[in-house]
Amino acid sequence: MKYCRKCKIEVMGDLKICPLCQQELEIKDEHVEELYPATIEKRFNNHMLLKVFGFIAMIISVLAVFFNIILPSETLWSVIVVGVMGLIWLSVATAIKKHKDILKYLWYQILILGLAAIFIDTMTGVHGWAMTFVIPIMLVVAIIAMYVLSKLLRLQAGDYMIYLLLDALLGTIPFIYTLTHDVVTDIPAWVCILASIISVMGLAIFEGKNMMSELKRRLHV
Amino acid sequence: MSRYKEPAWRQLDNAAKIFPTNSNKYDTKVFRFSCRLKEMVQPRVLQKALDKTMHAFPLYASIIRKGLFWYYFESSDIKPIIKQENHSPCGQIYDENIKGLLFEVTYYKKRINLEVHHALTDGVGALQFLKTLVLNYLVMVHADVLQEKNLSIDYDASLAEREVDGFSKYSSKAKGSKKASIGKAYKFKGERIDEDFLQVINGQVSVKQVLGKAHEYKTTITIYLIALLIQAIGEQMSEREKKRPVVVSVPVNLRPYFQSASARNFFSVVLVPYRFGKSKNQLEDIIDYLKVFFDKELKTEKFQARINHLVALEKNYVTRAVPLILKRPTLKLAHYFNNEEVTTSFSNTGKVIMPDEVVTYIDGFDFCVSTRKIQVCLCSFGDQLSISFTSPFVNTEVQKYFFRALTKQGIRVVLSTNLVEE
Repeated sequence: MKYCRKCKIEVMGDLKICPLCQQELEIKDEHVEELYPATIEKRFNNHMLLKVFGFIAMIISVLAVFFNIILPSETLWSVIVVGVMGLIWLSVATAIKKHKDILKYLWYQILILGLAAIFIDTMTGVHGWAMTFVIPIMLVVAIIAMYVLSKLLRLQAGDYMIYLLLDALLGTIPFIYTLTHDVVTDIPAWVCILASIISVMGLAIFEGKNMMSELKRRLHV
Repeated sequence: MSRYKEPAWRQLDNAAKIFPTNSNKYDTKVFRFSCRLKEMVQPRVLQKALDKTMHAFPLYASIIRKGLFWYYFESSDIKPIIKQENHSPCGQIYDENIKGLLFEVTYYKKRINLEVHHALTDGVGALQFLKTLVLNYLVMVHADVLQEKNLSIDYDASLAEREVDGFSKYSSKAKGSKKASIGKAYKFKGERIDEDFLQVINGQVSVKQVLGKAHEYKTTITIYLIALLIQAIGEQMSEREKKRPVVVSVPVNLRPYFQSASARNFFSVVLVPYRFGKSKNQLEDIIDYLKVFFDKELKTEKFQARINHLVALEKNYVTRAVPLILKRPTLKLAHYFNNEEVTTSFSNTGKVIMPDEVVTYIDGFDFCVSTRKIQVCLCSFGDQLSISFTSPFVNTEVQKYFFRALTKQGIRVVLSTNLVEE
């Protein structure tokens, strides 16, 4: 036990100065009780990887804009570079943040990749390849991957069902797109909508009760 | 295909709704109750005691999930594992990206800590859990003496009563009342310690001595100590800063007002504004002001009107139909504005009572809470009153003036802190 003459307070633990007034403490008795652990672990690191990556993406973006301005060019190609860098950064950030929950992570990656495809497609003159090929194929792969993962990892219904349902919901978008737009081929969109319907039907038949209760929970108002 | 039980789920109570959106690693919304034993903690037995305690508090096995409109609790099969304390008190527990329980039990030497995220329960609820845990632990360790005695914590409530959402149950359609706006309060400023380190300064004093002093001023311990706190805050304010009121937020346990035994959140907050103005601001003046203020505020009707208002806001069709993704910024904004009206917070959970047979094994209880301002938490065990200041600031002037005021009045203070010297 120590003593602070100024504060007239007894102080426990192994301190040399008073935590209140920073005066030197007197030793009252030699007994020192350790109250708190001396080494403290930092719980959540600051994701150095993400910072380094963000820095590199920034440099590339700034350089792209710079060269786009000083070099004679008819297109704003740097916008694509900046956009793609932003989306890659977002993708890495999601990977770091959501990696503990693999299906949630997959779901976010699909959104980001889908956006990236639409973005590049739009910037390069709207050829419709994102909606015709990239998104439907990606969704089919995602539905199969999520289904396999849920079995391999023995996930509870609540951990995967919502993502499968969301995949299936997105699966209708390329289908609607091919109906309303002139496209090269509508086969990928058809495969995608079929996969969505089959996956929802599978869920309804085998996990119907769980599906309803999961929906009830997720959608309660 | 799968043979799994449908998980139980429930809505977050009215008070809990603001916490998930507003907790992060700087402001974790976590509080800690510790029990100091007179002997070293045996980790294996503690784990067994925890497993046993979980049966009596099923709500503690919940995780928070995000729905389209609201957060909700879902029962989980995650088993809580005790750990040796290895981080600063009240560290982050809830992270929306990690599926995890909303509480943690740690130990260090002779101390058992229960850290709880505020969405799960409030101080009174958490204390019930810790008391049960400590009792189970002591009965297991000292089976030879205690086994036969059939000890239990005096907590007469069925599982259903414990899981009641007090706000929903006791609110009525009658007219509610909004909290009167006080405007911007005085806020502490200054250099902050390392981002995820919370400084705890704890003072142990004698209940009898403090009560004696409080009686000299014809008041209660709570009012006496709040008055000292306001004075201590005033001492380190400049005259300019004194233009703004010092607002002490005082959480009030609503269970006694509504005869509830809920193990979930059931509290309200009374904001006590004090303007230094031109009066002499003697301790007597502040105490007189507080006495009048609390007499007026601590009334069942006032709390009834307050929860009516809050629950009406929550059950309103518009609020309910807004997707969670839009509720979040609204809740953040509400939290920000609420915070602007508060200088500090003073939370007294009162006496911790344990069965007589185990009192001899216990040294005392401590209570503290995570904060971005300076907060004071109290609890008492026997004659020992434990006053914990938590703060993210380097500066300790408020704590100094507060504890010096106590010693000046002849009260013995024994201080401890988790601060380390370079």
